[in-house]
Amino acid sequence: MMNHTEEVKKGRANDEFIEGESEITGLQRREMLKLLGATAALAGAGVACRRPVEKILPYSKAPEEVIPGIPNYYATSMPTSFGAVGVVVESHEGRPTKIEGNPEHPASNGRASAHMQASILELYDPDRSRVPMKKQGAGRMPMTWGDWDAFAGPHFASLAADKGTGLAFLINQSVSPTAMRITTEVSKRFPNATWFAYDPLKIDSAGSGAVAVFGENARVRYAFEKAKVLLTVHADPLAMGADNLLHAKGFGEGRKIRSAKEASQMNRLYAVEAAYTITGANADHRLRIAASDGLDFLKVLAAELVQKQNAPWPSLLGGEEAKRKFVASLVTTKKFDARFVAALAKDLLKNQGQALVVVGDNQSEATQGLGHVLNVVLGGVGKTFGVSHVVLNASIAKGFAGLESLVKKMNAGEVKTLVMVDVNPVYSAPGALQFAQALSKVSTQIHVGLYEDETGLASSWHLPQTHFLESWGDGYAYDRTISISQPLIAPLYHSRSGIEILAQIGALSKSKGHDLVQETWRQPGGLLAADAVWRKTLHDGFVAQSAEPEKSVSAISLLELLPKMSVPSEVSPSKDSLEILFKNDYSVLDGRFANLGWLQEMPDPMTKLVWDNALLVGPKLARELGIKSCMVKRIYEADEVELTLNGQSVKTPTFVMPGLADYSVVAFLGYGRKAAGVIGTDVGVDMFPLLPKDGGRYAGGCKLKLTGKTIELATTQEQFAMNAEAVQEITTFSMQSRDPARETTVKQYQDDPGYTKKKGLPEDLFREEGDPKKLMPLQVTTPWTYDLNKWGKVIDLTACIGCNACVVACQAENNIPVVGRTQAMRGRVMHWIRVDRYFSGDVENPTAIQQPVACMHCENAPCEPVCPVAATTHDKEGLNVMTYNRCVGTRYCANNCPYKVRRFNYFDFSHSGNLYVDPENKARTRILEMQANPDVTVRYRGVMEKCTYCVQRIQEAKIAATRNHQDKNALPDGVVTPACAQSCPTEAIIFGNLNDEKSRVTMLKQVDRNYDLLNELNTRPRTSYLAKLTNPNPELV
Amino acid sequence: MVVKAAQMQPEMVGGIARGDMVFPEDLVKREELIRGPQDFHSITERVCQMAETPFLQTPRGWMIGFACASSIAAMFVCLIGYLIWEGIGIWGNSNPVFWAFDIINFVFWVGIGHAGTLISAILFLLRQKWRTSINRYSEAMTIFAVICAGIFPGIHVGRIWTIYWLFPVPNQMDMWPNFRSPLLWDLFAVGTYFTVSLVFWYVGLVPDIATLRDRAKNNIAKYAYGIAALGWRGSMRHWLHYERAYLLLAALATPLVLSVHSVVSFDFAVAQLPGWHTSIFPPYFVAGAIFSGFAMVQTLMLPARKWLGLKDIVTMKHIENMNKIILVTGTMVGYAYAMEFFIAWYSGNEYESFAFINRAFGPYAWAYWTMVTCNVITPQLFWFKKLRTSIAVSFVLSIFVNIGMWFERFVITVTSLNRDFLPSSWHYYQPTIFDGLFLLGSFGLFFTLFLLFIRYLPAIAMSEVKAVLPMANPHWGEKHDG
Repeated sequence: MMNHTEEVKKGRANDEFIEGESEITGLQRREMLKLLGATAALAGAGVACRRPVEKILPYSKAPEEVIPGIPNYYATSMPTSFGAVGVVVESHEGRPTKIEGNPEHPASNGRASAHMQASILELYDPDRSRVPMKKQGAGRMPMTWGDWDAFAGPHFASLAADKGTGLAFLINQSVSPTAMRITTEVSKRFPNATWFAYDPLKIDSAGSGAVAVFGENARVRYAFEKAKVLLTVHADPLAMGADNLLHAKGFGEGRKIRSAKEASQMNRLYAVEAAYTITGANADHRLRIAASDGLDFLKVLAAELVQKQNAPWPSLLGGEEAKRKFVASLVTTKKFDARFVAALAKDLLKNQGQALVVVGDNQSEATQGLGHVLNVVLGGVGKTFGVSHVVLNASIAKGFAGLESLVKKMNAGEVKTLVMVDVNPVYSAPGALQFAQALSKVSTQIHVGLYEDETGLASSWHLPQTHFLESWGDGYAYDRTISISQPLIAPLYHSRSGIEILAQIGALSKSKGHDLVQETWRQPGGLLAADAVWRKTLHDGFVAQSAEPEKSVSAISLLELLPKMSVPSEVSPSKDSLEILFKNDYSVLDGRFANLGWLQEMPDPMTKLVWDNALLVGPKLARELGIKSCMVKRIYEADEVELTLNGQSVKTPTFVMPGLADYSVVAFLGYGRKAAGVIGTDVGVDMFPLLPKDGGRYAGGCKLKLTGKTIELATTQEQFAMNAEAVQEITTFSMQSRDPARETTVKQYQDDPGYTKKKGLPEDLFREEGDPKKLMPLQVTTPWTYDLNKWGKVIDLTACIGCNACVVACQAENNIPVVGRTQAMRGRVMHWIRVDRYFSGDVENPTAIQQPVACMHCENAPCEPVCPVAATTHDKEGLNVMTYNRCVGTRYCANNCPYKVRRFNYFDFSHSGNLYVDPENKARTRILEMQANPDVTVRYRGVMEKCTYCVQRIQEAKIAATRNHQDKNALPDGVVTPACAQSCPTEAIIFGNLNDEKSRVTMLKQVDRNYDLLNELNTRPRTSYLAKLTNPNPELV
Repeated sequence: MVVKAAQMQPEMVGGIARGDMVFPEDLVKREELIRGPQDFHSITERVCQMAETPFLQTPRGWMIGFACASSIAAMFVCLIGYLIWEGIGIWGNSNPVFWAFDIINFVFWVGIGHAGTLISAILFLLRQKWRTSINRYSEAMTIFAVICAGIFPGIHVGRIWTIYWLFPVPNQMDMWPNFRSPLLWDLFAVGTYFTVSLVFWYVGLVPDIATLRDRAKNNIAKYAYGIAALGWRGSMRHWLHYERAYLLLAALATPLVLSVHSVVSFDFAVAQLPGWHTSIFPPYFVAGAIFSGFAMVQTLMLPARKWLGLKDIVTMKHIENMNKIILVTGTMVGYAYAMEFFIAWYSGNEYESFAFINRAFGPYAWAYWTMVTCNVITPQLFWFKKLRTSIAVSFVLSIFVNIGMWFERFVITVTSLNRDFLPSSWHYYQPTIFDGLFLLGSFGLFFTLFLLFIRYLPAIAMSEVKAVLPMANPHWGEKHDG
């Protein structure tokens, strides 16, 4: 348990009554009788039909460390495709309720992505499988673990007698040391068994460039915080893939510009890409090229750098001879925007040692390798990137190549028993492999997974797997930091962890997850053998300083790379032979999170689609092909196309997305699940059937044909999801000077620091001279002075990358319900914080800006005077508070809110109080409500709700301060952090006390880019924004 | 009773008599308000005929109409039950269009409820004698319209079981409602209006109910009318008190005609939403309300006049007068529309400008132009005497105005909300089937009540009509030869 948090939280037990709540004191007999009478009368008057009676049982023996009402915090680690990430889990009376990043863990730094936040919902997913299932004839039978044990014992004994001939394992491409150890142990029992591992999120080509350039087992890690000029080529390092939280943080560091003086220190990002990624949306310059042109682009850039601009040739790369050969290999016929390339090269060169090139995992070995060579040329070794050497288990055939060889073996009848652990190949294997068909040729299929998914249903045995919050485990972070996972709760269902089942199959001496993990680390002389070390590791969740150290780079195999680079340029895509990009979805990744409502309802950062995927098509291509997908009334009416690639075809709705490369279309994986659960089944279109055999993420020769059908999609932002005429209408009438998300360039900022502040404010409402605090619109009434705490928030639009972590964090913290696709189409999504996305500029290639918007806590809140029952009022600290119990639901407040941040419970979205809830839903809710945060009211149908600045956290901190005899009205800065700010990877959201002159938020409010949204309405919002600063290259403006 | 009417004080009722004194008949020939060979008795017979028809002889037309209307009303009641059970999500309201059909219907019905009191009170105070033929009718319409109106804000809240919190009831929480909220003002304004209108209507009904009581044949009717008549005997003292009370109530109701819709308009005008936040709203809403109220009176009266055989009582003069009012108020409404656009441009406020451009040319342009066509353009036909004295044209145009005024509220409510300050929250509003059914249901309720009214109560104010008959003139029949 974390000590510091414990201390903060403990105060609550002594303060049974939250401050401000009335207390009944000195009750007289008469009054008591009166009260009793009134209560009885009220109870009889029909009030009793409101809520079902729920009996609670007190502990007969209180467990240690659990104090009712005070959450405990435990550090553990979450396994992800790219390594373990340290998390701190909040637990209320034994129920984990919220996942935060572990501030000490190097892969998290206290930040948690949307997926990490949502994995808590996965734990409580009612659709997880609960007992082992066995195929019986055409149906499936629930079994007990006893049945399984009775089957597994003799079955594997007979296989072992055969040395495991005919036995194959397909496991998740895990980074767990214990799992790796167990596979080795199991192999001893079955020497002839074959092992395969794959993960659809990982691409075979990932990291291949690093290996090609820096040698066997090399792995490159980027230091975004040290880079002043960044170039990404078909990469999305800020939002997806390995180390994305660190990249975002580092990138944000270079964007924390607090004054015009600092502006010259700002980093600059060039994005060269075919899709419009989050990274691209944050770029200062963006060049659209086809994914297949990645290598050619880098060749042209390298030629510009090394040949034309005479970049110093580092000795690491060899002598003049090597340089000559290198230059000779840079031949290409492709042309790119010469001005862009020249300016980019110059900029990179000017920032030697502070320049970084990041090439996407989807690019070929040669392209990635060339990117690394450029980094070496730019002097980034040990500065903007580091190289370490990571030895992985070599006896396992990995990736899609491994999967393909497994399928070959299955088809050849060489596999009699296949054990699949934590994978779902029937869904996520590339279609051309025909995995399901091959699987049916195996006589015994054993699937271990959280869900009885597509693969589970196709297997003779499905065994329920424990969630990482229910089981012991371990993992390496991406930097090889050893991280331990410990269970926060006993398994909710009858499940076992993957390592336990593997251990059973291997007939290992230990069978419990706890013992297995201990065995890995605590052998005599082992790293964590000492009790004190082990306890500290559990407390911290990881082993400090255990990361793989970076090695100095001594030799680079440039000459081996060059032949790989001399491949002929790929044919440029055209209207009749399009290029298709396959991307892991921002919400559900490869479909593993498809059953999590939070993620399904998390709008895609760029398209703002929810509950669906669509094929993204650029406006130009859409025009040429006659695709007219656009917002019609409240629904996005998407033209369906038949998408053909290599003879396989899929029908999919289209979404016209500006900013794509002209002839590239973008498909998102992870949808169209057939057995994901109640939430995720049959949502969207499955793109895995088209995925190339090698798992490659782009392919040429793709064709689109309109089917004539339209499909209705839900989007949370109709603006800019419109056809061309509508876009015209918007730009003509509304956006001219509206400018909710203000933006300025470094140059403009240096010339006129107050530019963004004044913009939009009528002159006569603006006093220039005098106290800066008076630089606000005139106020007729005497303003209320907030003498105690005065909470405020600043959102830095320059730092915000639009990753949605805040949206899901808020949902988890504040018990925000999911409404579903139909309701989303009605505009009833309940998110308290939303991320608005605005495009500006050329419709073909616009720039994008992301703006998180939640309740502004206006001092002159327009919502307050219009409420007829005073359900929304101001408290003495300036919070605009919402009293759910008092709310009648007239919705007038929401009409009068200019920010439209209030959310109304049109239905019983929380399933909390309707007289009748159908039994199935009720049963689901019983499990899901275990996730609910007990500090936050679950709102019933018919009440309004909105962001509270996480008032429960404010109260908690104040109670703790009081308990510790500190001044609750002078809390140190940073003690209160709302969920959104806590999760933000770039620290774009800062919260604090405006009365504290030294608090970060007060400082930020002084920044000259600070502006209030819609300040001309004189609402005096407590949340303000720092205008977005972009740093375009003066040579390209 | 018949005799008593003639005994009324000439100052109070003898409009024509006094007119005759000012303008001798041969100089200015005033059109008679009541046509045909009517006398006191025939008026009584004509008006009471429907109420006195035995149940089994109820006209088939009424039965069919009532069957339809009451089924729809029953559906309305069931729908309300379903709404409470399921939540107001069954409507199409969304974020950002938090108010839609619920408030549109409310304002629409309140607006309709304006003609009654205007005719009863203001025209009474202005001594517009022609009102007597239609006032009962329109007052009833007012009451029923306000009932329909009152239902919508009641059921549109999220938690209907807590709606009583809007009333300033002392409670254990020591909580008053928020007197700053226009919704609360609305509650009081509509509540007051309903109460005063009801009392006004009922007071006016008393002498006529006494007539029905005196003529009643069966016991149920005798008791029912007897209780309702409050012991009216038609004595001079009764009449004296009655007339005074009526005058006072008229004076009390008159400001309400102006205040109710002004206050209703505050629901919008006090908010700071572009398209709502307009100081022209109070007069504009009142004009619109009178406009729609008169149109609805026309819609109801023209068929009823025919079916109940009241052509002599409700004459072309009435129809024409009402059409004139429709023309005037329609033009005022048109002026308000134009002025809104002017101010939107003149203010230089970009949100305001956008709100109005969006109204006329945005996604709801169809609604806007429906409104303009029905409310501004078509009533202009009433400039032609031939058209405003045509029954068919009057009827069709009154329907147009009803539609137009419903759309006016739609335009104000929905188009302003669906695209406000931040483009990111723009969202097109689309009603569900339930929105339509609730609107239909409210009409069902309205017509149910109305049909019951014309079946069992005197639809024409007999005593007042008698007062404007030529024979009510004390000098009637006298010869003035010199």
